[in-house]
Amino acid sequence: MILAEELSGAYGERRVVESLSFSVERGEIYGVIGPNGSGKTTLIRLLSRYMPPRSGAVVMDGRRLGEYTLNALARKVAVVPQETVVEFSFTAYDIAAMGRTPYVNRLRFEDREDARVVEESMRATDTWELRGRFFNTLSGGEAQRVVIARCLAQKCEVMMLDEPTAHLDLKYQSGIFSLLRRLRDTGGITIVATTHDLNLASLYCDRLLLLNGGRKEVEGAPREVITAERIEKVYGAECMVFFDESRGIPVVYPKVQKPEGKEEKR
Amino acid sequence: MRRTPTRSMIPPLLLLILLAALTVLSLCIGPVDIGAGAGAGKPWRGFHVADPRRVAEMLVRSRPADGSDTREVILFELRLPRVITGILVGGCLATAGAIFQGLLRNPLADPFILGVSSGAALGVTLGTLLSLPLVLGPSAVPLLAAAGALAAMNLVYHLSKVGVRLSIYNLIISGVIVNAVGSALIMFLVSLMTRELHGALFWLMGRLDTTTIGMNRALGIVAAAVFAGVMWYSRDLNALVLGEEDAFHLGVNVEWVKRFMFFAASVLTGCAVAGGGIVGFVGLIVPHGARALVGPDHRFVFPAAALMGAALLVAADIGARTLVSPAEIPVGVITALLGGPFFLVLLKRKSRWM
Repeated sequence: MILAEELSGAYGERRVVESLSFSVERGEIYGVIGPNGSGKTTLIRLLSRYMPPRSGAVVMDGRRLGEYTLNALARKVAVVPQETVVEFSFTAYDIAAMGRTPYVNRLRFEDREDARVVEESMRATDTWELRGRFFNTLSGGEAQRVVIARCLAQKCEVMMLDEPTAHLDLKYQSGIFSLLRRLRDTGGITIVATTHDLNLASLYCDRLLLLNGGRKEVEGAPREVITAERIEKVYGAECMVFFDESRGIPVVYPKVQKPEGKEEKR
Repeated sequence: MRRTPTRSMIPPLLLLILLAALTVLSLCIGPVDIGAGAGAGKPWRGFHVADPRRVAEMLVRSRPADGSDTREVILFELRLPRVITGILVGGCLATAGAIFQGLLRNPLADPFILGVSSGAALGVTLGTLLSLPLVLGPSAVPLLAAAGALAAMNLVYHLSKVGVRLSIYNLIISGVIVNAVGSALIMFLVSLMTRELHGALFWLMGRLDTTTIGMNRALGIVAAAVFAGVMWYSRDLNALVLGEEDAFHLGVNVEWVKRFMFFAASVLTGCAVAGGGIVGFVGLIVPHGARALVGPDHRFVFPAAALMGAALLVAADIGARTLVSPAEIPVGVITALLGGPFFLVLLKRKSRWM
């Protein structure tokens, strides 16, 4: 579905992603993990064409990203940013309906078919009840689900999410990923998500790409990628990795660090 | 909720009726009773309100050939061009304000606050000093204003850019500075002039009585063309309100739409300044009113704002002509008196937006 070939991205002279090659299969949940500054956000920007690559290419369904028109790409790929801030009083419905932008003719307004798609998308993300609320009054988890509804309204084949759970508490974190898995299972949507929560990645992703300083450290199933040795090397933090036999996935704990050079008070 | 176009037609229709009523009132009101025959009644506080039916009749009969009838001359040469200028200036300013607020994602943006009006006025003053309107004809005035507006907009934009992001603080501060420097330069240039001095100074405060029919025609054509373009991209601006990255992923050609919208807002500001000088705060207040009426969707905000801005300016002009009649207040004074407090309330209430 998506093929990255020797992909590099840079801001000015600063290279953030360095000759990455990997592929994402149709219908899988592909997780991108790595410490802060390892190039996760940049990778999403490269994969979604927001940022032109310095070298290399992204191929989607046999065509380079640059060969798609912006509109055609918007019908195929939808992106959920870390956070969506809206200054004006758009309702949740308005925001979800913006997903129809690539489909609606400029001289027409949204018709019944568009309204049907928007309703369907909002129901699929459990946001239909929120439709009349102002978007900027929604909680982080609600807002994130509305944005996912917007992506569904785009009728996308691939959904890319940049740290979708970064600002959410535990309940919403797993809620978002469960929702993504459900969308994959029912709609066949391919999902590429970055996260720095290793356990969520391990729990929900089919395959993981571990980035280290913009380069590929390793790619594979969670059990192959997440090992104590590798996490320590990439993250520079000591940790313990257990294996959850019931689910067949690894679980990461940070090691509790003893304060150094401090004497105990008496 | 999904809005049906038919239901959304109602607020603009009401605004249109309001604008029409204010236009008729503006045509009827003044120190001369243009409706009555000779020996009209006494003026009330220095002005008459003519019978609208008589005025309508005169309008339908269209222009007099000889100009022997003073009342017709007043209607066709003074009041009609003036009210049309008011409609154009108000509509342009409100639309420009709505564009700036949407584009900058900031409810405090306005052509006046951003210094764009000042730039336009400076452009016209500079051109006047070089006698360009005399050489190139009166249509040079809107061109000079648009050029000045674009230059000021570019300056403010680049001053407030921090890396790739646009800082809202910097934007407002740069606007204030460009405004101040622009005004100072205008004063300097005006002091170099001799004969135009008085007119130029008064024009800067925002006046609607200095334009001509030819100017109105030029402004109307440019404004209508630009407004059509603005409507064409209004949907894209909705997506831009979510942020540039989001808009890109919705298939919007972000750079192009941004450029066009900045250009359109600057040209509309130029038109407004060419027509009526610096009339502040219309572009600030009106978009808020429009959004309160039709919601934040720019496909509805722009028409509503244009009509509301036109109505506001025609109303302010009626006030400017009648409050101290037979003398006149520059209409910019009225809008500033309305808009200044509004800005402060907004700043206080919405400070979390900064």
